[in-house]
Amino acid sequence: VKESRDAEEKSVVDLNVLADLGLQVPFNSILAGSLIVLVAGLALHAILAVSSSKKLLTSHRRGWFAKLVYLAFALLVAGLSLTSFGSLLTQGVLEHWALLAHVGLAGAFVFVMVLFALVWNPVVLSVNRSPIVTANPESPPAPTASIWWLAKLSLWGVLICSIVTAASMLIAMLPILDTDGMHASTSLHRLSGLALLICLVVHLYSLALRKLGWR
Amino acid sequence: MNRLFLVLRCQNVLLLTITFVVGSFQNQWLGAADDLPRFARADTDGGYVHWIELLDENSTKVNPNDPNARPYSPKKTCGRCHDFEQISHGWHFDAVEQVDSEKGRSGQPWIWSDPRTGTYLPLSYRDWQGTYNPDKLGITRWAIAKQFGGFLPGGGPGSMESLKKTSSAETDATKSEAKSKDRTAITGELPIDCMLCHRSGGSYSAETWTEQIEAENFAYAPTVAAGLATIEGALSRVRDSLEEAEPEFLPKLKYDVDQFRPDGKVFFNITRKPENKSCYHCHTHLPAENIAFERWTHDDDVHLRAGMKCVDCHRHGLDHELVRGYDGQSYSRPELISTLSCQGCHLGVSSGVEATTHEIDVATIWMREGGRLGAPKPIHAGLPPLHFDKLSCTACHSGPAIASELGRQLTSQSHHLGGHERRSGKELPAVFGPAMLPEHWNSDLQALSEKPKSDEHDKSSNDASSHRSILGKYTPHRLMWPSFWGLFKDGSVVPLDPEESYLLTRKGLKVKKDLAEEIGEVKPSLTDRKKILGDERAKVKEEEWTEEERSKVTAWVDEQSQVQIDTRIVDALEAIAQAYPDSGTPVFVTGGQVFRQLVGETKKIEVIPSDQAKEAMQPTAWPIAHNVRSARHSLGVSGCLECHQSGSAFFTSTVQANGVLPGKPTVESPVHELQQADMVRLESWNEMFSSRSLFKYFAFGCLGLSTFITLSCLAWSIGERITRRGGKISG
Repeated sequence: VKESRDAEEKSVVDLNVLADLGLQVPFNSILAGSLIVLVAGLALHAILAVSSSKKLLTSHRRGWFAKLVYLAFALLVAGLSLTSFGSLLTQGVLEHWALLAHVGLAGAFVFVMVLFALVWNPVVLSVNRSPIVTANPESPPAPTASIWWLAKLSLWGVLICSIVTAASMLIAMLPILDTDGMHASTSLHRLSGLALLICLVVHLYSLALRKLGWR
Repeated sequence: MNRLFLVLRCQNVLLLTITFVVGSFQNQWLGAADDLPRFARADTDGGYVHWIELLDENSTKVNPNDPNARPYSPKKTCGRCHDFEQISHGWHFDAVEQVDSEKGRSGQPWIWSDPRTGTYLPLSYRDWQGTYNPDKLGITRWAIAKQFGGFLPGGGPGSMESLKKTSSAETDATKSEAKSKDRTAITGELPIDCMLCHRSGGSYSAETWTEQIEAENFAYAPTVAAGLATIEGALSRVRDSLEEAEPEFLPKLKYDVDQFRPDGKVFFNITRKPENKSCYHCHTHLPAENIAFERWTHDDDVHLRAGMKCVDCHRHGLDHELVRGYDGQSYSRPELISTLSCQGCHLGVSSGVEATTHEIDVATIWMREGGRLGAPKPIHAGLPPLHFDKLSCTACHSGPAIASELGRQLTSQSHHLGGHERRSGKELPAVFGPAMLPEHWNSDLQALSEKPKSDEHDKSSNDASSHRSILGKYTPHRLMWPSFWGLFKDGSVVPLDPEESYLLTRKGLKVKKDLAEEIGEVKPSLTDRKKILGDERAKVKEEEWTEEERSKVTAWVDEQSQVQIDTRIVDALEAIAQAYPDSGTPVFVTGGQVFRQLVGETKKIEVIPSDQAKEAMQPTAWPIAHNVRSARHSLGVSGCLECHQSGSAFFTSTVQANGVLPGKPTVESPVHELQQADMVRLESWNEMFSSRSLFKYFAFGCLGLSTFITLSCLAWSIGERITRRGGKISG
């Protein structure tokens, strides 16, 4: 099995878009490295944030619908990540039941993605005063500039990466791309999916910091 | 004195210099001579016209006018100018010794057919999956050469070095006194006949070669098949030894004098690259429907129709180490064959689908990029790359189209195609196909995952990208259920030597020619008819029977047929039991079932439960690669649902094993059972694919909406930011 994984890692080198850019790095290494850097970076930032003991600047409590959408979106991303990256890290390959689950969840993801873009868009968050977005509609709207830059940036990242991730796989469902194109598309799907996961984790972290009053 | 010394010294220096210079040249010349090949060659693409002298096995020139002229020896005749020793260990000659070639991917086994005993036994010295090693069964190399030599180019099991080696068999099967024949002393070795493959024109008859081998005229076969002489007599009619043989039985050659030039030379119409028809003598395979219906409606392999030859892909050098064409073949110089597989040639080995299993150390582009001989690069538009990890190229592009029920197939070697016979397409052995089976379909998954990789082929199969599943890629296979007599012990069946089976069972079976046709044959006698129809109607002609009478007789015949089959099989089993009293339970394996004598019943047979004889109930299968169909006729060309829907033939086609005992049960296998496929998962996939088209509209709608919202807001956000910054600056 180990040999199999090694071979899988090697095979990825020639097939992903990074290879075309001259970066000969196996995707599994990118995946593991990214997750390690992410966790380490957030942990370090959390330590610094806690030690600086900054007070809560603003409090924009979200409405029930926004929370529901966020929860569904986060769960779907978690499920998709577990089935894909989890399989890649443990089995070296995404296939069988994991692939089936991944494809099934992806169907729900594209639908929830629309709702997420509608509700959790930084612009919408700042201007929409409807109860589904904010729990305190009477409070004055917060300009986008007042949202913490990390939360805003990660949210934009989540939205853009979601679109790229979904598009890279949906276009592969059409008889357009040739084999090389399909490989590039798959590779792009993996990378953008990883970026989506990272952005979502960062955004969750930023929400948690605000909730705990450390930002 | 000093001057004399100086002159002498100068002379010495001069001599030394001359010696050195001459020595250097000599070394250079000698060295160059060492680098030259042993045999001279024409080295022209124009070909070399072979007007050659015929030499017999004693290297004596053949005199066509000599009434006692010996047959020509290809080894001596061709070996004068070609390295026969090197050639004789190529793939086609190396099945037994395997000096230069490894066993590689399973190929079609030799199927020992003996209709008298209902034996159809797959054999191979290469220990391919599902085959039996003749040495281990006590079958002599000579017997193998006689049985299969008609569809071999000679050598191999019939080479003298092979025949000299005694059988290594130490199994129970060899303890009996009855053993297969070894008539090497009479027939000599099975010679390699270069002309079987390298003939050009129409004077050589491969069918004659086969006939002469069957007549045991081994040494004479090349001469007669080449049309150089006619023959009378057959060594098969010589009983014990050549010395005691009656002269009229000894073969007599009569050379065609007109084919000899005045200088005694003969024209050999030879081609370096064998023509397709030479390959087809042994490698023809037909769907049975081609026999039963119109053969002209079926297409040929697209490569051949495009003007290619078999040997354009299946190449080799002088060593005759053949490129078999599958991805992952072990080869002495892998870089030379990397683009001679489907994938290598059409996709290259450095791009596209994960192609190579070998290190590439040849710097030339064409060796890596494929496209040889103008091979087009397939687009495979919209085909998820996962399929390239699960399916071999041949799964979609080769063989007859898959059907809900596997069809019967005929092959040259198994059904002696080429001979003038009347065929129905239902001849035994019953070979079925194509079945889409993984490469290691008959393997224990647990054992496979733990098995250390022993050879290149295994190593390649563990490449996760090209063989993601541990079972390997799906590949079209032909398969057959063996039929043989054997001894059942500890869950496995050891077949008996087929010739020995005949000697032991012939009295019990009472079969003259064909067990399948004769063993259940029952004709009611007058006495029987009286019992069935009554005294009055017993003498009435069959045509005058009423429907009720006909059904009564049929029922009686069926019942008696089963009784007769049971009785005769039991008699045969008892004969085996007498010959092998302590070697296990005598059994007859056919149709995927193992039959033994019913305990307690004297003349009844029963099927051994499947869990006790699982191994013996498995079919033998081997992958196929031809005929390659065009892209527009490939599997999946009309969409995903060709495979991804309930009841698709890829997974759910069935095959009913063909037994030789009429009325007895045979195994019926859905292909997914042989595939070890997870049907629950496949059905789940199928459910998803049923609404795939609708999902595409929905998903693209969602994607478009998300993209519109996000990009609009992003643009608004950027615009707001620019406006705010502009306001700050102006303020």
